[in-house]
Amino acid sequence: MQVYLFNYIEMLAFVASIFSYKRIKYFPLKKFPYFLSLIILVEFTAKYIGHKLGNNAILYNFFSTIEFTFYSLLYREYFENKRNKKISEILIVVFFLFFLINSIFFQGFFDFQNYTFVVQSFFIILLIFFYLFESFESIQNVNLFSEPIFWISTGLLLFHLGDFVDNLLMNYFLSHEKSEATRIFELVNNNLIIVLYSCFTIAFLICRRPKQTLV
Amino acid sequence: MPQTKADISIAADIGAAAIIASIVFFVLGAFVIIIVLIYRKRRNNHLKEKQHMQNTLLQTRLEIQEETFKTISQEIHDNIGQSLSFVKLNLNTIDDTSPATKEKITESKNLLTKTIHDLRDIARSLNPDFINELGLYGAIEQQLQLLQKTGEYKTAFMVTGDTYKTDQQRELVVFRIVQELLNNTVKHAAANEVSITMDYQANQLVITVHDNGKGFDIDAMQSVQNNNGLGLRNMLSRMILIKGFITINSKPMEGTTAIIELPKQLNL
Repeated sequence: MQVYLFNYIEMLAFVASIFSYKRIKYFPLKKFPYFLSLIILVEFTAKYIGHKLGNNAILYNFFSTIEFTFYSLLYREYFENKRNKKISEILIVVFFLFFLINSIFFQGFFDFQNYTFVVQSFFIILLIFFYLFESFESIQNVNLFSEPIFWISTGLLLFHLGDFVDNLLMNYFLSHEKSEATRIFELVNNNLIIVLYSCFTIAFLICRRPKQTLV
Repeated sequence: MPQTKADISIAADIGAAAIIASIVFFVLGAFVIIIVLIYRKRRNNHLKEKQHMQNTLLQTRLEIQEETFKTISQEIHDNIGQSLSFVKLNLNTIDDTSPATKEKITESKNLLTKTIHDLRDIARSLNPDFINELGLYGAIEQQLQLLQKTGEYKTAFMVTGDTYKTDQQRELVVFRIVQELLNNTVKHAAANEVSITMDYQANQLVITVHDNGKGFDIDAMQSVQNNNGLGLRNMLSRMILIKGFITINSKPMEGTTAIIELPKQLNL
């Protein structure tokens, strides 16, 4: 079982979230240690299944629903605008429906569902844009560099924008040259994962306890 | 699976295009983040300028208020107080021996004496120099004594730690806020017990003003639409202006506690 650099960066993000737990527990970020431990578990289980059976796509397919629900609920907690909160709830339902329809009628449960991942990326980018728009509008004096959610959003935005095309063209590659498809997918995806979890690590490390703000 | 070399070649070309497209999208994302950061920085600068202007305005307003208080205080002391003392003197010189008149004159003299005392207290508490004379804790204790004198409140005052002075301007703002808190207690709280604790810590002075009154819903009071919350927001603005903080805890039927925190050093 080969362990790549991105696996170490994932573990680094997990360790950083544990290390910073005393500070992140005051924010919605407090769920990250559990989520990251789940991601690491999924990654290594997928490696094991891939090593033993060859096809581990089902694990990633199902995990995409958990992943999207997690990020949607995370942004839901950060949104101040009620309409955005509502949209994040609706997107969870829409994504679940899409996943089910795609699994049953189109790509199946056992093949890598690139369309599910394209939709997931699109929805997450949408949520990030809502967050960025809210931070545009905020009347508070905010230093975005010291906001953990800004780093989380930066990581997610860079990852999903980069991964979007990769997933979109996946079917074409698979139908022509599977080894080339896997190589390109790994090249893009693995590097983007490094960017994503590096941003998460920064988010946890810069997180500070909240100041009193209310009368 | 590709059948020919041409298929493999097309796949490789599309692969390269996909990598480039991913990089372009990645750079696009980075560009969006940079735009957000630049815009936010400009907005922050604008907010800072606005905050600075509001602080200057608030400071000017407080200075004008103190000047007005000083003028009123002098007027009370020099004119009204003098006139009332003169009336008292006149009453002393009335030479009427009838018991009914004598009783009325005595009653009037007592009333006048009380009014002169009350006016002196008001004049002193309005005068900003009052803080200098008595010190912040002396001035606050005196306010509590005034409340005690009404006979409607049981009061308690406690000072802990080694007392020290911060600059007069900041002490004056804190004193006015304590006055306002006590005034709110008298007007709205329906309390019968008021206590003030002044804790002189190494880095900050913490003043706790507590009453056992009917309390209020702090969330409802804080909502922007609620004009009654304006007083609370003003207190917070004034405390922030002097780099301090005020926290008010209250629940209906559970009394109200205000905690004022004033850092010892003014680190601008």
